[in-house]
Amino acid sequence: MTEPISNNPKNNQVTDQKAGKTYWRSLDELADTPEFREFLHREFPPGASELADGMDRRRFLVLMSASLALAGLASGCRRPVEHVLPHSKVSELTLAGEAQYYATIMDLGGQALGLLVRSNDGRPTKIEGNPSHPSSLGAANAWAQASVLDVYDPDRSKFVRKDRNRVLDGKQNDIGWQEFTKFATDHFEKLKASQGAGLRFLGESSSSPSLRELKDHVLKTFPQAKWHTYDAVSQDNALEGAQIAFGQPAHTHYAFDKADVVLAVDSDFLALDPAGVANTKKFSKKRRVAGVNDEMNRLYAVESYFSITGAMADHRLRLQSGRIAGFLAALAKKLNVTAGGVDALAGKFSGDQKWLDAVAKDLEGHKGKSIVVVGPRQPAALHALGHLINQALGNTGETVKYTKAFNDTFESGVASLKDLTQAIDGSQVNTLVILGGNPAYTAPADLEFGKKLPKVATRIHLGLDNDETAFACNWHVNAAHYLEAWGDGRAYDGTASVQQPLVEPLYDGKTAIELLALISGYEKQKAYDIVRAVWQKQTAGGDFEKAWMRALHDGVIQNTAFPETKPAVNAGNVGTELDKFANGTGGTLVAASNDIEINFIQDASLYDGRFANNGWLQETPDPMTKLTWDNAAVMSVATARRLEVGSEDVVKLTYRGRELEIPVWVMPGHADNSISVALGYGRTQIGRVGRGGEYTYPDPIGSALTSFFGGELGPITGGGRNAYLLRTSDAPEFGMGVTVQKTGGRYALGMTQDHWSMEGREIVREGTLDEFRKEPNFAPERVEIPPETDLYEPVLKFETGPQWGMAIDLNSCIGCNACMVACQSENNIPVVGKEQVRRGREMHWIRLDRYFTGIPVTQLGPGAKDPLSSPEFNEDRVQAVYQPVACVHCEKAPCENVCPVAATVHSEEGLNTMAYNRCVGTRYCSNNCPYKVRRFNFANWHEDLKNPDNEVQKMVYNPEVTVRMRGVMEKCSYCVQRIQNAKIKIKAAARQKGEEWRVEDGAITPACAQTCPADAIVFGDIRDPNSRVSQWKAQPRDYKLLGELNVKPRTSYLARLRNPNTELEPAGAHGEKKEAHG
Amino acid sequence: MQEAIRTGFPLEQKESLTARPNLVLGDQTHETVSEKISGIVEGRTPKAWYLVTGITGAITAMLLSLLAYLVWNGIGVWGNNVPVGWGWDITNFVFWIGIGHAGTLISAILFLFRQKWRTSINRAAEAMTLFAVMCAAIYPGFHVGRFWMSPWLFPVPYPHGVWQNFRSPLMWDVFAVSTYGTVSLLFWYVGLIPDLATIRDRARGKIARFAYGLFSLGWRGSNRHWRHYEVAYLILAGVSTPLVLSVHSIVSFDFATSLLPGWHTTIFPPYFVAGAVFSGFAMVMTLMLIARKVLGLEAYITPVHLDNMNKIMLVTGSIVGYAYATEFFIAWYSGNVYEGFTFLNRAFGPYAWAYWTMITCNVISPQLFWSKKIRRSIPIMFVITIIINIGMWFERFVIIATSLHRDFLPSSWGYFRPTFVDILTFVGTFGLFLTMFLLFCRFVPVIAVAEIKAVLAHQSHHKHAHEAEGAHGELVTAHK
Repeated sequence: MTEPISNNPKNNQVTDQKAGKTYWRSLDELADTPEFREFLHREFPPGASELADGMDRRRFLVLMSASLALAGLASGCRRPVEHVLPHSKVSELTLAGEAQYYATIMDLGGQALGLLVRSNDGRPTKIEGNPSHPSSLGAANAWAQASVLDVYDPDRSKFVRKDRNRVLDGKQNDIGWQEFTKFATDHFEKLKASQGAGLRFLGESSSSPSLRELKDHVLKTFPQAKWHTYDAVSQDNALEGAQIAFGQPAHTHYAFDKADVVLAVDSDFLALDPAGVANTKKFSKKRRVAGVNDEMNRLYAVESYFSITGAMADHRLRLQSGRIAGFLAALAKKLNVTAGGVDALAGKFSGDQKWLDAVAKDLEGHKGKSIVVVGPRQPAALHALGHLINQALGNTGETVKYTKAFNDTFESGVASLKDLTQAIDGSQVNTLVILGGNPAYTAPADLEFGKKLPKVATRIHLGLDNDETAFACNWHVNAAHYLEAWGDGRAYDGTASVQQPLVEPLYDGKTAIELLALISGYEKQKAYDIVRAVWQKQTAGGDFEKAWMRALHDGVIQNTAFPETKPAVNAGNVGTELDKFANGTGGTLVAASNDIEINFIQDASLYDGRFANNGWLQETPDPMTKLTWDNAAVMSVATARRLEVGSEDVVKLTYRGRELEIPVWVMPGHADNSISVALGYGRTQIGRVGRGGEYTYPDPIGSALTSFFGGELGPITGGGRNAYLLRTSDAPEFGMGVTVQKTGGRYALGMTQDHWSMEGREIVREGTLDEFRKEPNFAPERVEIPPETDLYEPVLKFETGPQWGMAIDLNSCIGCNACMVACQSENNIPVVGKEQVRRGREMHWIRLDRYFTGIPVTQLGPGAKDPLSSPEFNEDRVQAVYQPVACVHCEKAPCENVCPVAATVHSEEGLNTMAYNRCVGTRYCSNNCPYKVRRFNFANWHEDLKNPDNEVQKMVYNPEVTVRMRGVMEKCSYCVQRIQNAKIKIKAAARQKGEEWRVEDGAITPACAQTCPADAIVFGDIRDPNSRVSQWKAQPRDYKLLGELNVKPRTSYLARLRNPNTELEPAGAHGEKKEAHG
Repeated sequence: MQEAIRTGFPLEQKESLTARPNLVLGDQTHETVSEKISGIVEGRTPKAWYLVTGITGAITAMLLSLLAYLVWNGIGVWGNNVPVGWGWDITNFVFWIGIGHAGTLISAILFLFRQKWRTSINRAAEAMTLFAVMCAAIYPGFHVGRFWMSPWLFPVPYPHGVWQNFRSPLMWDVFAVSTYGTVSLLFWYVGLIPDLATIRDRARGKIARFAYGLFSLGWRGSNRHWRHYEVAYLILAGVSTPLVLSVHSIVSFDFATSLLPGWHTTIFPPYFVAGAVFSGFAMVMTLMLIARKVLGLEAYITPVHLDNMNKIMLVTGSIVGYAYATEFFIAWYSGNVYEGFTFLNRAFGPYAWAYWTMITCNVISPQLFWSKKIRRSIPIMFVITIIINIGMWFERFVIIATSLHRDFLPSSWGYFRPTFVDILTFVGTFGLFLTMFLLFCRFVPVIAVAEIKAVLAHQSHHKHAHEAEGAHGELVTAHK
């Protein structure tokens, strides 16, 4: 059997032909053995078409029927045809290997983010924002970008389990579901008789109209049943604030694109807000300063934790979370906003009065063009006060708009969960259905929810993971990922979208609506049918089919946004609440003491812990601390000094009788006497990634020796510490009175950036708006660049064809990490694990350099002092700046001439390309790269794919990008696969028309630029003077990072600007000293 | 004239030679020299040799298994990272290449400069060169991420038709080191031929006779043989001389042609060559002092030799110290912030301990050799040579690690820590080096017998000549 045999039937006829000469290809064929016939009819050798785990290839193709259906290939599908429509980018005729894009949504934090998901041969592989969706506007955040990895997580829950045991093994895992169906039908039939007495539901916030429909149906079917909603990270305070102010919950929308002055009060509206992407999109519009006549907004931030919004701020006041109430009240007083309690609260403000005065004056000067945004961590009363202030400033209706909330009445999640817990305590609950979420882990510690859960006789959990809650329940139903399931949801403004699946559930997972439909005996059982039916009901008149198709295609349902409401603030109510707050009955106010406060922070990577098993997110460094794989007790330099602790020291936090040991991370600019701990770490029931130790590189000798001799800081595994263990229901966001005790232990943290100062070098060039106006060329002129002469005639002159280049606007970049994860997803970048991060081997092609400014230059030499101890160091003046750095594609690339085997060479279009096949791995290119953007495969990072359990993990890879082997250098390619794809199409089209081919500006967008919520990255042809990139590069702020090295980078940066209030920062005070770098 | 060609000395200088200190002590004759040095090879293998070779052999085996482990798992088993792409691998490469410089310098340059005192040490030094180059060659070969692709470093026509990048200093390295290795081997081997013939002639065992016969290439010591031999030796010395300067100059280009502050400096070629000679001499001294004692070669390696060697170390050590000072001055004088920072960071940054170790070992310790007493005190010089070796290893480490770990963008600053594999691999190369040296001591005359006879004191030469059968002493001896 040596010859390849084609499946072409014509070839097979060779033996059938009786007439003429008979040719045979092998003795087997001549003998016509059954094996040969089998071989002839099989495309692949036996075994090649079956996957080891759970699903064979044939079955996988069946599962992909949904996506195949679109191409009219649904003939092999045994299920009812569920039409999924491609987005406009796709032609009628689908070509094998050609990627398609589908519109869908991701529901996170009770709001939908519109997405376009790339599908390669039926596998979702890359997530991008949907430009037509109001909360995405074409961009996606890191969570959405990374969520595609969860679909293929080998540790996902794949089976229905009863009492922790898998129900019926085997490939046909929906037998488990059948078993559950049998059980549920009986069980809920009985409950129907009792009107659902003792039946409780616990879900998470959701904007889904279908879920709402089912919820209503369930509560109708079981009138005595109760529905609870709890989110670990919630917008409850904001909703409750609106309830106080307007008498009904409302969503607040901020038009950051119209505001000249923004005050963020403990609000990370650019990143952690559910509408963060849209906020950033709008905010960044006011940071674009092309010329000296352009205006720019001014952002003030008051916060305890140093957030990326704080890093973006022109002025930042660090204040304990508990003192922020005093600040806001004092501000209200300054602005002559009167309400009860304001005066009393204002009297407690003891911070920087000058700062307050300046902000108040600035806001007053921009009536109707300013925004005061209160963050969800602050109590509801302050949100109400915020509405009052915005109203007083005339912002309501201008920059601050309201729509009705998804629910007509407000119910606090914590109160709801408390209510449920009390009911459990009182043995009033016999059946509890938990729909998603992981309350056993995320519930406030004082409720002891996980511990009490077993008191409920029947506990049913629907979830993606075998998490803490799954193991505490008697039934666990594996959930479908949102990319596998039909559903719907609303954006923050109410715009509805259908969530259409990219692939059929890999493990027969179910959705909440399907589970509820089963329980309540809803007329339709399949999610697709339910969602369709719900929308059919709402589409009055017209052609529903057409509307449905349009909704799927566009990713939004037209005209579903809620109309703007113009509610008036009830100052009396606000006053009452503030009064309660002021006299201490309503909240956590700080006594003027040195007490230490604890803040529970939503994690920028893990959200509330749900992404703990997502390797991309675990390895995405926290934007501010640059920590990977762990959380830490973050505190200011002054507080650390007071407590006599340093980074990586383990401390014991004692708070309300509960203890947590956690390493310290010192962050300059954090509020004093305040400690922030990110939620979502320290999971106990979680997959291999979440435990933090599984992604370590296999080095048996090294590990054995390290454990034998004892490493410097103990075993280096991540996973972090569980901050929920300290979080209580009465003060879930922050509280006073934590005691900190040094344990003497040390804990190794894995950071991608160890150094926080720019050391006086002109790296991120920053000036004030005034400086820019006086001296527009300040940025390129900061460094004197010697004449750029060549020793010899360059071979490539870059005078023909498109010349690729990039420009990054540091004034809009907020440092949100979306580009990092997008790049990881697009370019198949491996995850290396905490230990390897600590060794400096992370693989990110694009990184976000975070520098703190206002820290004196490190002294070297005899008698050198710690810069943080020097008298020049003023922690109040610490600011942070971001700089995304990927390969800058130097025209005279220092990496290229040092490679002995010519594995990295230049293309005629100006790309510095890597030939992975050719690379032998001397690492000289990395040594000689002044930007240190090259990444080396120090080990086979794909080792885990050899494990048959992880077979499914391969499906996340972008088939257009090589998966690199160990020993090979890699780096940013400007997404060369996208460039080539676009060029092939453009060239083919041009040839048909007989024209010269030309790439239109915007036809090619690298993954980072595509997903950037701040639109800070522009890519294109720098030879075309009209391209956006050329226009950006022509701006006076444009400068070349390390341009003095004469490497001629193709990526340049637009200098960062700050727009300081002259009352707080007299002109000139900001000026950086200028130095020639020659 | 014959004499001139043979020894490389014009006849008229012969007289003045006797006025010089006796290079061989005692009343030595050609007979005793042959007897003594060949005796080492011919005698019974001492038990201690087995013991020591067993240990070094085991260390070599460890080296080989660690290299296999490295190839199996990837460079990640070492401590290298980004930004420190090169760690102990290239440090050790440069270190061993540096050690390899003494041999050729002694053999070639001192030969051309007619420094007769070289004869006692040149053989061992040349052997060390070879072994050091072997140890060095391991690193560039194995430090690449894909070891199995390392043949691509050689410009051989491959079917894929991709040619090497001749702009890369690593490419130059390939040529420089392979040329140096080849020429050193030839030089050493050519010098060995008459001595191998001597041993062949004296051999009693069949195997030994066959083996030495094979390697002595049919040397009969005829006039013609000698003439060709001398010419070949002279030519090889001439070819080797520029190599002494070129190899380490080119190795230094690995750094000098980059744009990294701390590497990008024109002082590197001379400074590296001086450093290489410095470290090479120190290593030769360390080993020779042991061999001298163990093999009883006090008569051949005299305090005069040691004194001369120490003087060279004093000179090269001072050049190295001067180079350090110049680097600092230029870093300051250039006004380049990156350059200035790199040097301050070397001296006062996280690797300050390495820097000051280097300064103490390389700059301060050789200055002790100004004192003649110390120059002639064997225990002190033994300690100093070891210190110098440590210092020169640190010099390479400092250049590589401190320049890489903090370069242009502070966001990428890092730190390098060796792993156990790094450390044990380095230890393993010493095992290989010592094993080779022990094998050399056992099977090859450690001192150039033929050459040493030429420098015997005049009268003994004379005396011997009278006793000898032929008109020409060397020929007779060679026949024996």
